[in-house]
Amino acid sequence: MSSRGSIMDRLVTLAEGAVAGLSAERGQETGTKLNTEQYPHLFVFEPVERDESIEFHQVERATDVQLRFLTKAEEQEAHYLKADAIRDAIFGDPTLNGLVRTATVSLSNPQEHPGEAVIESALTVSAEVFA
Amino acid sequence: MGTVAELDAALVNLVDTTLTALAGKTATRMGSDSLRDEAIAAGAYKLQIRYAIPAQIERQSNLSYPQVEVELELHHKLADPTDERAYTITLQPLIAGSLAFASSWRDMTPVHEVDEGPGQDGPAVRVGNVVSFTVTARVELTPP
Repeated sequence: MSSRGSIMDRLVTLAEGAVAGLSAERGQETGTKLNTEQYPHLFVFEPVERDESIEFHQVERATDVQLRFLTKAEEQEAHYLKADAIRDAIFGDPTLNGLVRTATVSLSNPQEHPGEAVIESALTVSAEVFA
Repeated sequence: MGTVAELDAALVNLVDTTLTALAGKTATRMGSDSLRDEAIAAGAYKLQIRYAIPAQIERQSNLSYPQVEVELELHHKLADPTDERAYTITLQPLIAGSLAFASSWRDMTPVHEVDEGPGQDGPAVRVGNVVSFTVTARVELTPP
């Protein structure tokens, strides 16, 4: 499997372990296409690699992955708690099960879509390896 | 008369003998002794040696002994990047210790005397997955 795919699969596993009933997948669709039973939902997508050259023909490679977490018809606080749980699960596995040297995760401010009763949080994971 | 080229060959031999005994490997001399732009395979060793000629020692009226300062740098790419200490607290000190025996340097044909060192110059340093350390010494070459 590709290194980016392995990282995304690990993030899916961690998130599914953190939030009961979470439907997580690699790739992205628009939230409005989800059926009600697919919430809470997580999209893991857009892995972008950034390489910085270091000595001995090596690179310090950072892979940035976007996560989009959606809940529907849930209280704001319940959404926050679940988003926190995903963040904490990733934070608690800084090597992503040995895939990378270190990974960091940040959680951005949530967006609320009142007409659809959907709340959305974005997380960014940056995973670094020496290659 | 001992020359820097002869000293260089003797030092390469010393490193290879040491690594063969302790790690079952040899070191590849890098294409440049100054630049660090060459890849190293995981688990492999590469070597750089640099020289400076600081002084001529006159011990007898008709003999001068060229002094040579040596910087020998050994680079190793970790076989397991997640376990740096598997190298830095076991094998690396043994290799550095073996290279730091003055008698090994004194026994080299082009060397007349060891004036200073040899010894590891500071701790090993890591860049990416490559751990490097430097052994320095000042020797006198045999006179003409």
